[in-house]
Amino acid sequence: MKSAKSYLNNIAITFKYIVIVIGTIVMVFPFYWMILTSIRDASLSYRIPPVFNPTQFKWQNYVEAWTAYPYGHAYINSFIVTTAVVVFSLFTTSLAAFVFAKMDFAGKKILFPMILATMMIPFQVTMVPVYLIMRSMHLYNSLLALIIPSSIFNASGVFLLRQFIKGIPNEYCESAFIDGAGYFKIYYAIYLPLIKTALISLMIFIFIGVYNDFLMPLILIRDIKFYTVPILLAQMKGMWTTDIALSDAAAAIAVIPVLLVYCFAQRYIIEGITLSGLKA
Amino acid sequence: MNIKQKRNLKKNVNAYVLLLPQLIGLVVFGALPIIMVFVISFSEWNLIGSMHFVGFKSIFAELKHPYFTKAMSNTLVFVIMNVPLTVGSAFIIAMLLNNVRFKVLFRAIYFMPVVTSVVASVMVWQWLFHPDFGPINAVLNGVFHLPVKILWLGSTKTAMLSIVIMNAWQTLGYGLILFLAGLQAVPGVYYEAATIDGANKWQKTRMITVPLLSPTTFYCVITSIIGSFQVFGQPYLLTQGGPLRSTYTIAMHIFQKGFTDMEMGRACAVSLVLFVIIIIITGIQFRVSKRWVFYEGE
Repeated sequence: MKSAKSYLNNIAITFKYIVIVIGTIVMVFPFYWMILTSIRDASLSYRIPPVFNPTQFKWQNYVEAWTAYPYGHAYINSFIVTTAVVVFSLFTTSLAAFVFAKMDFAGKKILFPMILATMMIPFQVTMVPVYLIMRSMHLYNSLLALIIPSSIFNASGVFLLRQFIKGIPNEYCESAFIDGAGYFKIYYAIYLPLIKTALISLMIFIFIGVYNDFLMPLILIRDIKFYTVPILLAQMKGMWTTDIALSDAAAAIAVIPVLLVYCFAQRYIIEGITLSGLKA
Repeated sequence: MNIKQKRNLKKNVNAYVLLLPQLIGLVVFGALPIIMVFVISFSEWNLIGSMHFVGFKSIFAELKHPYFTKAMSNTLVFVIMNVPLTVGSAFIIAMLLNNVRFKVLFRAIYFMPVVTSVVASVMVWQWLFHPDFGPINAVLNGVFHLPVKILWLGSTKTAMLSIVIMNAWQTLGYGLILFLAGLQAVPGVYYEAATIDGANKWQKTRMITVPLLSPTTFYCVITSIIGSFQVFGQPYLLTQGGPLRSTYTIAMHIFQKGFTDMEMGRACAVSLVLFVIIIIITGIQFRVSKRWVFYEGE
């Protein structure tokens, strides 16, 4: 009896590992394919049956992908927008989170649910008005148009940090208040250092979200000199439909910053999501 | 004013001053656009001329328009296919990965597609789905000897399915992270008690894991549904809505009306409809959740 049970158990475990490995292969294969086709000549990827091992290399693909379009420019644009948004939004969301977590004021019970409610509004619903608003502010087709909305409107960020700050005892706030500190000072000197991990998670989150954002730059930017990386990449995709080596090299170049950040910081990203998901 | 009122006032002012940036953001990019969507839906406007108010004309015209109905049905198909596939797979894989060595490594690998730009993913998957040279068909026809050659993105029957598959690949990691975290949060005592009572693995899963995981499942399902309704990048880049509008989604229709056709009234009408649908579905979700979501401590 015992050996039959453990035999079935072993089969179950083996099956489990097989499924996990298959899943992992499915997850990783597109990346592998992207790198594979980008480092060899396009014609080698057009084989039936496909050749999965790289034999001849053509690093020239990357040079061509970089120089054919103003990639460097797009990178700079993406960098400017992403950095600006990260700095501003971390500041504004942590401030708002602090206010909602530690301060009692008139209208708080209405305001906070309202902010939460906006988390459910997809950008697709508001994208036309946002475009119109940007036009009327004469910010259309500028990097500011990409920076401003995300810097001052981040409900999920406020929510995440507020949950975090709520977990910190009120004593810090109260004793500082008794000592005569103003609220901003309490926020800046006491609470901000205490929520460092949450801030790092949020920072990486925002970085990846803004860098990868496709729809907002698509509708707010017209001139190629203001293109961010995803938009430029989409142009290249249109150009190089047949030269898969070039297009995959371009894709690889676009993906590198995010994957680098991800490699070093994935712990923070995952912790951040875990926090917000559990408390939701 | 006495001292207490003065202090309250000072506190309120303080709070609102500190809230100011996010408050402005909330008003300008949250509330104002919604109001604008409402107002502009009742008009016809092509940006060049002035706005003419036409009552419900724009809205009704859109509801009857074949492009709108096609977009609506496509999007619904996508939601129905995508949510179970993505959330279900994430759930299953989370259960499998929960007690495995190298869990952290696997978790990191499964999450990698989530942080990848949709444009880059599209560039790769477009080729993966190629009926003649793509690896997917190479494996299906070459290794598994499937008698048919699936056209994936080239056929109206399979194009949406292809996008669902690609989207599942891209978003599964997110649900997986949430489920893994939820699984960790289940107190081990329950399982121990169940073992003492003689429960087997299946019973434990059904009676302990599933109910205690239900808040996470609920959150996953809601975010997945809302996310599925707004799918834009994949169909726009992969198939441009084709073939024959079989992958034309609501978000694409809004984009088309607002930024290609420059018909603001119609675009806002569609945005309004999308907004209402999401609110209704979310409301229903919350209502129904009272039946099956079990919060610890109740």
